[in-house]
Amino acid sequence: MKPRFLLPASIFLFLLFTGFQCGVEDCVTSPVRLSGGTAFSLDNRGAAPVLLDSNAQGFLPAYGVQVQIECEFSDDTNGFWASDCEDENLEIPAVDGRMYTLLDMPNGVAAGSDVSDMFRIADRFAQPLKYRPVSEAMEVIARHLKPGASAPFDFLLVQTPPQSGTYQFEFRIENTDSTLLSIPVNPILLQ
Amino acid sequence: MKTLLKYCIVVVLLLMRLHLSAQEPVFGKGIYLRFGVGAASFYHANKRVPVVDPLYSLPRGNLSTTFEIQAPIGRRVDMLFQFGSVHVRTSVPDKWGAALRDAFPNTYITTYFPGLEPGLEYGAFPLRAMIGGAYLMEHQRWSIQLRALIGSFNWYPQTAYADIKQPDSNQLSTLTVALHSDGYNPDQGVSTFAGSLGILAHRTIWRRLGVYGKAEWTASRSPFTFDYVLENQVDRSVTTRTYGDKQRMIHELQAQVGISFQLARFKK
Repeated sequence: MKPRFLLPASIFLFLLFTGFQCGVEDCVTSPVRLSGGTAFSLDNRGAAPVLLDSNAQGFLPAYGVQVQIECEFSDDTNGFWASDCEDENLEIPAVDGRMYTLLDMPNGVAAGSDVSDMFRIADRFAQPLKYRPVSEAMEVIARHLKPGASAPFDFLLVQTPPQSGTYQFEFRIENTDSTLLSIPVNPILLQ
Repeated sequence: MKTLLKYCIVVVLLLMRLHLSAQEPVFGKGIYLRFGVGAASFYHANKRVPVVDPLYSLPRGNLSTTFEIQAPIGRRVDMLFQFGSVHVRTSVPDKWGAALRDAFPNTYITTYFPGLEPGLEYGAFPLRAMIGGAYLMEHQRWSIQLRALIGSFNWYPQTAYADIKQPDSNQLSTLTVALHSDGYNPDQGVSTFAGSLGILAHRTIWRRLGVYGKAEWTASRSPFTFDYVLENQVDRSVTTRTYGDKQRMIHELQAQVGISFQLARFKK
């Protein structure tokens, strides 16, 4: 081999054996701030849940709550993605998310009680669809929040109370600074 | 079966007569490239399992393509390298959706096929790579070849998922049907040994250019055994089964026409 080929050949071999790849970078984690949310009642009797009007009645065995959460970047990224990664890792300042009843339930559960066990969060980004416990809700939410946009998350009532009546639920997110983001849904008559 | 055997004997006798009466062949010795298209039909033991069947039962009517190189290794014997694929003509999403609707009546069903490209409704097509030999009988512009090949058939079994939702309820089950194989890589597929017998008729039409027709029978062992996992998303109960039969044989009958080009000519 002629000496003038030694350097480029060495560089080529070095890049080849060190697994050099162009245009690939590690995804960074961007801190975000939860800026608000709204909640709606769902009717899940059909193939896919539909939002109910505020004055509509619900169907108890197919009831759900859709929580729409908004967030924004909390540092100096000015609303731009901080890297070229398709899925930005967002760091949300929340430690837990739970579902509470705001009214005394007909089956004896007192207002203010944690009723998270009666719900599952539907991870609609999973294929196939996965129901996950509400204790894992923040993990699902963090994966699918979009800064500057409202992201919907469906919580479905899977332990159906036996009695019809008026129900009202609230999704509460506990932030790392101990503040609460409360997202209540309007009271609804469920039959 | 006896009738079929009689016809086979008649065909072989006619070929031998043609061979014995051969005059100076115009079909030249050399290296040939061939490209052909045709029809391929799959036949396998009917052990239908409705929920899994659309994922592993290959249909009767498919388009097949073949590329091959043929080179002489003896006076009447040539060596063959053959590469081919079968363009499976079925819509697995449609067939699997229909099978699930029969198996789970009165439910809402949504199916998912990861990696299934839009427009491709089967997934990756089966590919084969074979090596073998051909015995040549030449007569003027004609060459009749009896061929035997061995090699591998590469299959790409489809993984499928479904959401099965009860109406008027939040009850949901999810179904996963995937190849039962540790470390299966869907991109690499599964290879199985295959053997093939066939007959080819070649006619030189102009200088080095020829046309041909061929018929082939290929047999390979099925690589398909599927795991079926039905998971209730509310109470987390799981039903697991394994369906399929790895011992069953898949038979493929293929008829093709194509063009042939003599790449190099050898002196006699």
